[in-house]
Amino acid sequence: MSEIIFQINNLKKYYEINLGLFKKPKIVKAVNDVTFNVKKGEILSIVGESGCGKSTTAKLMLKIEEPTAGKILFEGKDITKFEGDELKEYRKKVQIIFQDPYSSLNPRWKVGQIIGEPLKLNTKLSDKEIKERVLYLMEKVGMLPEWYDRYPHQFSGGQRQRIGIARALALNPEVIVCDEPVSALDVSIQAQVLNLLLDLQEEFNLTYVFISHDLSVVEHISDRIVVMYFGDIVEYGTVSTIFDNPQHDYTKKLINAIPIIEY
Amino acid sequence: MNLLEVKNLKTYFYSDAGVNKAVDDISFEIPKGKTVCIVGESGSGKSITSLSIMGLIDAPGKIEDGEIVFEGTDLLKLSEKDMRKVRGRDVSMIFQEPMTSLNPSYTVGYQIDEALKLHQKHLNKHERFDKVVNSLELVGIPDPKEKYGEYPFKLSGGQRQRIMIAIAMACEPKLLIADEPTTALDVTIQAQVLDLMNKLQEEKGTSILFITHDLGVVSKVADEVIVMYKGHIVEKASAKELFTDPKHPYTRALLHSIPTPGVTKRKAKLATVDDSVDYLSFPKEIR
Repeated sequence: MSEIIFQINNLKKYYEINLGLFKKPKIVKAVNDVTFNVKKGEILSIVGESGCGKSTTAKLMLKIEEPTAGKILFEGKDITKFEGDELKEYRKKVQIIFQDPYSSLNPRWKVGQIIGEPLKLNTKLSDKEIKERVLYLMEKVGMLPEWYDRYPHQFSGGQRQRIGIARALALNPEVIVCDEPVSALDVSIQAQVLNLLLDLQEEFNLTYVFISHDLSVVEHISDRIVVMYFGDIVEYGTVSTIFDNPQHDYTKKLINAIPIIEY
Repeated sequence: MNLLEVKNLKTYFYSDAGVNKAVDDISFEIPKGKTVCIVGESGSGKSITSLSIMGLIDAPGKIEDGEIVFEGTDLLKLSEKDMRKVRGRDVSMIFQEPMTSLNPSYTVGYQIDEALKLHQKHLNKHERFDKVVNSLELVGIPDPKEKYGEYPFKLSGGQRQRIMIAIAMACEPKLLIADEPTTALDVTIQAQVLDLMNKLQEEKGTSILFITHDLGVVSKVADEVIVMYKGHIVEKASAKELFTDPKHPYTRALLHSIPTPGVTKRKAKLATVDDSVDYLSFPKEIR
């Protein structure tokens, strides 16, 4: 539990915005000097409002974007230096579940193809073995085998998100970055997907980096929490220290703003 | 005293695959100066209910049966021309997506002014300008005079939603329909917008029909709550009754599926709405 899988040191990501030919470009500090770590087997949540840099941080961890400065160490190695086989290996170990199950699945592909794609690209399994593995994954995320030949549009939002989860699991990853995985779903479906994520974590000994703006969900699912505000970490600690005894004004404001049912 | 009474409303959609009974025989009232919330999941018919009241149902949809009585007049019997006078003046609507429901090529001031131009013809240009600036101030936009000439893209999501509210409130409607007005907003902004709506209601005595899937939001704004499921009202009660003593199994399942800080045990299994249960087979709980 205490083994550190990700160590992020002084991470910075700046974007330049060109305002015109003769104007000085504006620098947007999307992520500004962020330091935290992720322990093996935990659920670490990054919370904050739009524009706080939580998704940029996730993109940097996934090596979709390159940092302006700072280090991201995965199992002790700097991921910014990864290329070739090492990068391919890293991509297998760190997977992502996207926010919007409507736009993150190819509408022309069948479920079996979608879930099998990472296996086809990254392993030497035969078609038959891939199909077996896909059916196994479908069972794990609570889908019926006869859905193998269906298209994404034949499913509801919650079922589609299960397809995305199965795809993320295909290569036996160590870490899954979940970028707002339930925010596009109805509350009742949200509960099903959260339950599934918790079950899978236990079964496959996964580590989740959970990106969310929904504090009720984050409180429920996380071990530790990073609270971000305009590119900076304002508070970082276990779920109980953050929720039961928030220190920073912004964290307090955020927690107070959750509409909680009270009567 | 009821401002609006919906009686046995049926709104169906027709396609080659058959009839979709999006709203199937629902009845409810909205009292003057009160907030009624409709909650339900996607496809429950809550948005179609609001569009039916606004008279915005288009083919292949059709209002099959029922009455929508607003201050003694059945809105369904009005001609399109008369309905256009009601819309925006007596009943107005705020939509979910502040990013897409404003016109990007007109200034926000112009868009608020448009409602006044149509419905308050006795006002001249200067009076209207003052009114628009007033309404911008009312919804908490800083420097309202300068913001008058601003285009929507320059404003944040929360500010755009405030503009939407300003447009909807410009003619001081008697009924405001808000369809998921805060769903696209951050929590802290959401809290501000909800406060604003409560404040406007207190000041102007507006009745609000609030459509949402977020029960936390419901508990912040509702006087009465209607729970919809597959086109039907399965439970109707005062907000207090609904949250302290939910009667219908569907309502209970919905309430228990939300993780609530301080109540739900961390990492515990959440209750879910069971797909295999036919919730419509239980008696409806109308209080």
